[in-house]
Amino acid sequence: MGDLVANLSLGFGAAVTPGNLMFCFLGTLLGTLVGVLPGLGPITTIALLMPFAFSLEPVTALIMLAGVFYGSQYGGSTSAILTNIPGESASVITCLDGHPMARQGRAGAALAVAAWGSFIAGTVATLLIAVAAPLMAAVALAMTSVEYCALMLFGLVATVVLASGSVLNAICMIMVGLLLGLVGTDVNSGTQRYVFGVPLLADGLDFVALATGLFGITEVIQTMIAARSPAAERTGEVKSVGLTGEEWRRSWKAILRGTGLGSLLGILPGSGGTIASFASYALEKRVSKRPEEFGKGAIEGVAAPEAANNAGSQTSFVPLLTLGIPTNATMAVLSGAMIVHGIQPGPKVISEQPTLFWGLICSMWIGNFMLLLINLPLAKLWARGMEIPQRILAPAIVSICCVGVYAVTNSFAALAIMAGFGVVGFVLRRLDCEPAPLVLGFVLGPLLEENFRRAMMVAKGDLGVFVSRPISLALLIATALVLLSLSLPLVRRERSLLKECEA
Amino acid sequence: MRTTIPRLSREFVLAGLLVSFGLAAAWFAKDYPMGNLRDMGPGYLPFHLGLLIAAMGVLVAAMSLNRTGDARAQPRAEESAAQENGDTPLRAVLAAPVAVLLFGFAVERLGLVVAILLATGTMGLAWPQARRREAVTVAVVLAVAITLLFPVLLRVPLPIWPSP
Amino acid sequence: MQRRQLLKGMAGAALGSAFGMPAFAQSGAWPTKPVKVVNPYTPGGTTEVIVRLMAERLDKAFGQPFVMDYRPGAGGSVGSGYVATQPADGHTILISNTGPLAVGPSLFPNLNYDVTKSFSYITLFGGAPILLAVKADSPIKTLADYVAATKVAPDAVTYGSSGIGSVGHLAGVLFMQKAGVTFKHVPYKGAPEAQQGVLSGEITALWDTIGAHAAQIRAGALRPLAISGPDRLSVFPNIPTIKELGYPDVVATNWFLFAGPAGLSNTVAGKINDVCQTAMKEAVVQERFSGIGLAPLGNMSSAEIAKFVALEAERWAPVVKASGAKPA
Repeated sequence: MGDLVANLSLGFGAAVTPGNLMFCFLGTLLGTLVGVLPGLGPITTIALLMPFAFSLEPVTALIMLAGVFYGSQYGGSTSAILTNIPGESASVITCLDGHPMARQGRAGAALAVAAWGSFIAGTVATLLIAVAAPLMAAVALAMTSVEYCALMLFGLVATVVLASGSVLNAICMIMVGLLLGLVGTDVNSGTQRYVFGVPLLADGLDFVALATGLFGITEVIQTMIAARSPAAERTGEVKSVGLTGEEWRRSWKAILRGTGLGSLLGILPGSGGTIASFASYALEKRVSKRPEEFGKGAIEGVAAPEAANNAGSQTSFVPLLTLGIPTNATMAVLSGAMIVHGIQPGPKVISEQPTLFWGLICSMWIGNFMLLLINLPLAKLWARGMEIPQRILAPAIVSICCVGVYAVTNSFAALAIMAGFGVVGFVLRRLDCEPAPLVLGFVLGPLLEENFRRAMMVAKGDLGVFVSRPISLALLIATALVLLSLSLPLVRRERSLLKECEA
Repeated sequence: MRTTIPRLSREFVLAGLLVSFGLAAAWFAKDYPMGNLRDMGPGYLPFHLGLLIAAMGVLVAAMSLNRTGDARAQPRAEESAAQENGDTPLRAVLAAPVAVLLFGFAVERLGLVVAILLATGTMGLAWPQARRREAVTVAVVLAVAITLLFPVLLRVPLPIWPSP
Repeated sequence: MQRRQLLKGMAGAALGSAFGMPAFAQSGAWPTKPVKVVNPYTPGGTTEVIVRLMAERLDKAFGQPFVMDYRPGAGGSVGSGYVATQPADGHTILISNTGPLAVGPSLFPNLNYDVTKSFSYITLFGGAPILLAVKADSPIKTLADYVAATKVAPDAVTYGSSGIGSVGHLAGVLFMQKAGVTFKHVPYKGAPEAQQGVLSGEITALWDTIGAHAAQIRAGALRPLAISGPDRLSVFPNIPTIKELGYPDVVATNWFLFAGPAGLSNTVAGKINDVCQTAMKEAVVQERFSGIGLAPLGNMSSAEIAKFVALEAERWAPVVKASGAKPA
């Protein structure tokens, strides 16, 4: 305990200098801005701020760059809520209820709960890291390909819960997503798959183009169809710009559960944070007394995944700082920033650079606080933006998506992918299929393949390893339970449907 | 252009799409080195996943046949008003994708301003009960605003005007 | 004010790296936009350290950011092949090594590049040995233990590398051939992933370029058994060479270099090389390089590096053939 206080005070001592506070603020603000615009992500931004960061003290540089990272995650939620465009995989889930909330004039509440959820999650995760960083590192180290496969399987099956339509359709969408994720160059052999001579496809389908199409463009299409009946034109009535007491009561438990899941899964390399946001949404829907509201503007459906995502972004620093393993692309770039400053990320960072380690951890909390300061007033402003009529908003959204995607890829193919997936998303919705499971499958596809191949290689093709290793077995049992629990309400719904028809 | 999709045939459409997508994926994957479970080549997973997706398509069709037509034909409460009507105006569906493609064709040769005018103009004119003057105004305002935001203020090196 | 500049620089650079305006391309000035440094491995490897150290100095010298672009796959040949197809305007360069340039050509049947024709070489940074290491609590304590373990249960002994066709992969194959033992190769995407594989107990050992693992050796998490260099390293004087342990033919060095697509102007290559050569004379850089086991191989001209690469490729060809290593 004494250690904790000493560590945190060392950290706050390092982070709370006027210069560091200013760069923390700049980083989070810049991050929020690039997060809101489609295309530009935290990775590009951090990579490009690096030359500037060279001129700063290592701790200041890292504080600023880390600020860009979680600022952009928050910005991504903003665009997900307001325009239904997920800037990165973790905010796909925020679209599901955040955007319906905005459509109902509750954008202010959705944005506020996202800000508060992130802040609370950030606070808890910071404390957790301060207490248990070495333990968390040990968990990350115990995972082999077998456990990763089981975890991803669990995450994928959990996604089925969040689908409001048919379970079977959701499973089909996951598989289609997995296959789309395999497009591109095979990491092991360098073989190009499903590339058809398009250079852009050699890198795989572009996530931003795919997600912007499936969510953003599809949404515009739906809006346009709805706009044909005159009543739908008036969308913009802003009902609230903040959280009501009732909304708070519904959100706080969701925030805490999301934080727990996010903190745990965030330490895992690959897509821990993404799986966490999907799984926490699924969990809320299972425990809620009002599961039927999910997908139509349930505030828990924004609170939980936002908390999970943010807690996950905090804890994803742990493997980098304790093991030298970057868990995602942003961490990789940050690890580069440390290398430049002569700090080799790895087991010795805590003991040899305590000021840097604890300063960075504490600055995350400060950064989250700043995000709250920046975004609560902004939320009101954004919410007012929803009053703009759709016939003006829709063309604006389409052109900003075009500019964003084209600017980053410089490729007509990426725009064609975006347009194509816009139509695909529309058709899928007409066929009662939801795009979210497809997107998770897409994100996990390459990771699942890589780990499954390796697991089978090491186990000499013996599928039994998945049940002979305890963590993997536990995850598989959890997966089976989820599948089992899914089949029950399905039966119930079918019955009630039948009854309605008979009546 | 009005197409009404009742629920039963909706599942057949999905089944058909899944079977063709899955088989196509497997067809292309069969030429990639296959390997075996102990040592999977780049074709192993795509090939089997493709077949699995096709099988799922068959399952979707079978399940829908297995159900009573009555219950299935009822649109579910959560479907939107437009979907209940079940009619799909082609113009509304294609306006946004066409706008994106027009932007793509135009931006390289004609520059950002023309590209945005084309994209927003398409959207504005295709909008139900389009107000032409407003659509043109919106297009011009957006073209100016986005040009000011990206290439001018943020210095994004996009070609603004047509290149000679 | 500061924020405006930041924003401008950031976004301009971000998007500038993706494409340039034709007007700029014709003027002949370089660099007119950020320079993309393609790293054909995952973050955290030796290439990362080299590029980060050089990029810092190149940024300052030329006033444009040198931005890293990771394109891992097939032991580095995916990213290397990518650069071969890019315009030779000096805005895309490659950090590569022995794997894609000397091993890959004999290993992969249809590479989309030819090391003698597809690249203009810029700077040779030096060479580092391959490390053979196990987890600190492994029962294997020496190279002899390792050989004994493979003889007892060849099926149960596995090794990880930075990918098929990486020098680590081939060094392992070379050792199997010369020592008459067998163990199983498990490819990873890059050095940190392979390292986690050995630390989590997924694989028995690691055959990989030493640089990325130096920190874990010092921290005591990895137990080094031997290195593949001709001599011991000054920073790790206690790690024996495989050569001195009775396998004189098992010597492998992973050298690192900057290259551009073929046709890169000599002026641009020269400018980059000058900055790099000056950097390599700095005490800080020398210390960091030797810390990751990288020893200088001399200041070679572009043509000399090309000759060196061709020779190395020739030297590796029979090893790859004889080893029976397969691409998948």
